[in-house]
Amino acid sequence: MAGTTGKQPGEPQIISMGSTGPPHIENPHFVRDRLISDGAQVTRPSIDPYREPVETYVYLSGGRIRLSMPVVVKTDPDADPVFLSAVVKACYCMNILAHVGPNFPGRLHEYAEAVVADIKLMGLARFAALTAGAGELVQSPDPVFVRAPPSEEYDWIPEALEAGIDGIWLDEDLDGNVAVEVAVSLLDRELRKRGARNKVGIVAGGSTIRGSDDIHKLVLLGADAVEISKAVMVAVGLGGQRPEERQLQERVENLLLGIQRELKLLAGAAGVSNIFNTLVGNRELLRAVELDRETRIKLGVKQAGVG
Amino acid sequence: MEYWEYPRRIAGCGILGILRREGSPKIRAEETLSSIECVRYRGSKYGAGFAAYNLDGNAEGYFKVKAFVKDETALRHVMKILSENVEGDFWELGFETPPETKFMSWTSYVDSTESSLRKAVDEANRALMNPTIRGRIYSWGRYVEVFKGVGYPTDIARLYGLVERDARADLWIAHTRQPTNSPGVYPIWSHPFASYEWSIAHNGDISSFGANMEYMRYRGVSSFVGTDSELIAVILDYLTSVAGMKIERAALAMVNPFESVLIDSQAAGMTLHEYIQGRGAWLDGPFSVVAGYCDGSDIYMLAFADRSKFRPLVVGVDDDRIYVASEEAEIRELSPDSDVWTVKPGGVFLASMKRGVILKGREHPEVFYRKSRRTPTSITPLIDARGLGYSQINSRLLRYYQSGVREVSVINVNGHRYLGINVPHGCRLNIYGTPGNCLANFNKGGEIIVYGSAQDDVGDAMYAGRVVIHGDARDVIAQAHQGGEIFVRGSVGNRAAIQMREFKDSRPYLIIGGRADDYLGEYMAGGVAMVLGIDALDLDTPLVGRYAATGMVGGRIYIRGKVDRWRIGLHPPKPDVLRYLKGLYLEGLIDYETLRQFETLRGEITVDDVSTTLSGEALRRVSKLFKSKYYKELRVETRQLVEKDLELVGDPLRRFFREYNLTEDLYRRLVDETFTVISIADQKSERGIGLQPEEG
Repeated sequence: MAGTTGKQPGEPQIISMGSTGPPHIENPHFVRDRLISDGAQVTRPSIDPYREPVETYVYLSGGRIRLSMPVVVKTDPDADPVFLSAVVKACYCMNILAHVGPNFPGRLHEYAEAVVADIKLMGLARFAALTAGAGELVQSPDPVFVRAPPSEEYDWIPEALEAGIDGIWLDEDLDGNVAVEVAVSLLDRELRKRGARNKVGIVAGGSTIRGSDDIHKLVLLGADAVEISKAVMVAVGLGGQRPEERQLQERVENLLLGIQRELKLLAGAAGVSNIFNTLVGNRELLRAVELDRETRIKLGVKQAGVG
Repeated sequence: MEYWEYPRRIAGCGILGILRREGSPKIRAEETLSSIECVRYRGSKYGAGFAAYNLDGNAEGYFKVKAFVKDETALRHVMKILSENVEGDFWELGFETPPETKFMSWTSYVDSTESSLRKAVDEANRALMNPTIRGRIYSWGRYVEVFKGVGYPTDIARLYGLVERDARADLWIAHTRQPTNSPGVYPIWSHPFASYEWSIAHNGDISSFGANMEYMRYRGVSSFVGTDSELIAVILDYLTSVAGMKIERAALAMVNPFESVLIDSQAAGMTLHEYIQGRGAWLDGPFSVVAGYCDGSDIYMLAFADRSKFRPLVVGVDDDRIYVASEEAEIRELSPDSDVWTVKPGGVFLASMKRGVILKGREHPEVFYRKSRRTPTSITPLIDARGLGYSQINSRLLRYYQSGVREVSVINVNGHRYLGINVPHGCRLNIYGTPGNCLANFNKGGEIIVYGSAQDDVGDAMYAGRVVIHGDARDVIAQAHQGGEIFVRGSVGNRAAIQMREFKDSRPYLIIGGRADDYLGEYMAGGVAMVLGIDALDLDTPLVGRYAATGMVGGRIYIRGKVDRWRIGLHPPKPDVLRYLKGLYLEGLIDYETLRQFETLRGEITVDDVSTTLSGEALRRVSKLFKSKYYKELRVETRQLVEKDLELVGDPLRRFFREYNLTEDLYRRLVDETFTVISIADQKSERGIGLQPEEG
């Protein structure tokens, strides 16, 4: 995880070769902990993002939304108003989206371009995330996402596509019945099958997303953007004494900047110079370690050391 | 035919395309073979091949379907699927390769519509890959026919008897393979890969492979042999034949333009919307590709290079033909007098038999690239390089120098690598022709004159001495150059002067008469690089590409004319900087006028733009988008040369002018011009540390 303090803001740590991470050193907690990146090698050199461009932008929903990186931040429904305000402003400045709850204060309406909220808050938020199924879809001049729990069942997709949705928001915190990795991969392929992938955006994630490595892996499995929530609160040191809003905002900005730089390093290490075209859904750049065959097939990821 | 014996060394693949102009004679297989064999060392015994296009070759309009099959069962499978799917009949031509080959090549004429055959090919190929590899339909066009297999190009030509039966074509695509992604033990993995009327040869290893496969998976193609190269053919075919994109547009999109280019759809040749709609089809990672295509009324040769230019790509034109190659030597083998130039990073070259060159692959090649053919005039010992390998030439040279001869000429040089690596201090080597890659690497004091153009990687880690090139040089010249001088009369390609360094008593110079592409002086730590554009004094065009001086930590770069600041270094995307500034405006840290000023700025927003306009808290905040721990501030000045500059570059510049017989008037005019001078803002000392380079 990128540091939030230090001489220069948002500086990724440079560590040695080898891995200190799961599944072999740390315990694996999630499916993605058994996925590793298939890095660049001599014929496909890595790219050094400090000297050469690695583009992190993504366009969602056929180009209606542009994010500077495949990241959105979700705040707790009952988040501290100062923290909420800091997150919204930081997301605005860093050109990504903030997903806010019903307590979104009107005084932040100038930042609406960077806000996703429940459809009931339309008018306040520029982009709407809609809970529940396609039956409740409403028309809106702004992009509309269907918010759904991670699942293997996507029988409601045709109806939602018919209604002209702009994206699907897979939210781990909605009590899905399947790992978010599996849900993302199946949804990505489902939309591809229906020829709608480049019109309908996929945002996925929630409180278990720990940092840029998790984001990178979910993007490789098919997410256009990954939602982080708890990780932000932990990283900016919320709890204990309360920093001022401006200070908090800068910490969130620096965190996002650090994540962006780490995403560039991860993409560059795989020889990728463009996240939007090259990384999204590129399962070929992942390999599975000690993951059962059934899950591997659902993910579309090969076993490490085999193919 | 006799070819040079090269020891096996790993290199990239070799690619080639030769297109005849309408009215010129067809190209013989033997010519194509002699050209691709010039880069034999780039390949291996694991695969080579040819694709031949003939516009007049198919009067009946039948498809020629070619399949590799492992055995009779596999063949029956192919025939069954074909007969179930295609509308008309098929006429078997039988096997064209002998039974001892692992997979025999079977050929048949097929009467069908394109769409039915397309479906049949995919179905047959899927069946042939399951559960194990039993074969592959590898060529199914009306005008194109592929010949490929396991071996060097000579072996494959012999296998199909191409030279013996004097096969001729309007367009040849050829390839010699150094396998990376898949083993080369079966012919199905050899290039060219074909899909309908497209065939391609590829050098590289694309990182977008997985994304490209996901893109094609639900677009009528469900079977892949597992190499990235095959996908390039499949995508080109899909975009042009199924999605209805024009060839130019499809190619411009496939090279995956940077977002900063896409925002200006005029420059990109496509709209951002088109780019987004086709996301997943575009290529990333290293590639240089040559492709052939026939639409039934004309034959096209397309070539493109990746935007980082990780692989070489040159084109050549003469009155009769148009060439695309990995190395100039392939072109010179057949056409000593053609005009040759380098395709720029992310560049697209397109030509057709009837229309000639359609897209040049760069701007103003006629101004910046030079033809420089000469025959020896001085009386020096002569070595004829024809028929010799580079090590034979180098050992002969060494014998001459050891016997006290100070100057030797080598004629008929064409693609010989590693020349000029053993010329002693005070001795001179004249090269007539096209020296191969790695010229004058580690040169320790010799003088090497090239009457012609050099290829990639000239003067790598050169310690001392001189290299004078009368034509052009290609990519990565003067890498880690640490002493002595390198002059190029014409232009150089990508990544010139990268990692150049200097020592207290050793300052290297690279002077370029023409222009340079991207990443000039990347990681540069010392020495001087100059780009003069002396044939373009009256032309308003930049003399460098993008990302000049990224990661530069020392040394000095002079580029004639005003170079826009956004071409120098790396910058965050404009939409993200604008958004941050808008955030600062909302927080009351900058006023509306300032915000507007940035919004109306043309081109990208650079660190100089923000640091000259903003101050205090606003500057501190936005600076983090531009700077990092590894950021070194550049000083970029646009100004005339002053005395101090001339102290630094005057003598080498004079020698440059003398070497190429350029006039005093031109010299005066040049030094009066405005230059863009790039150096490090907080350069501690004027001289490098340590007296001399040490041998590593």
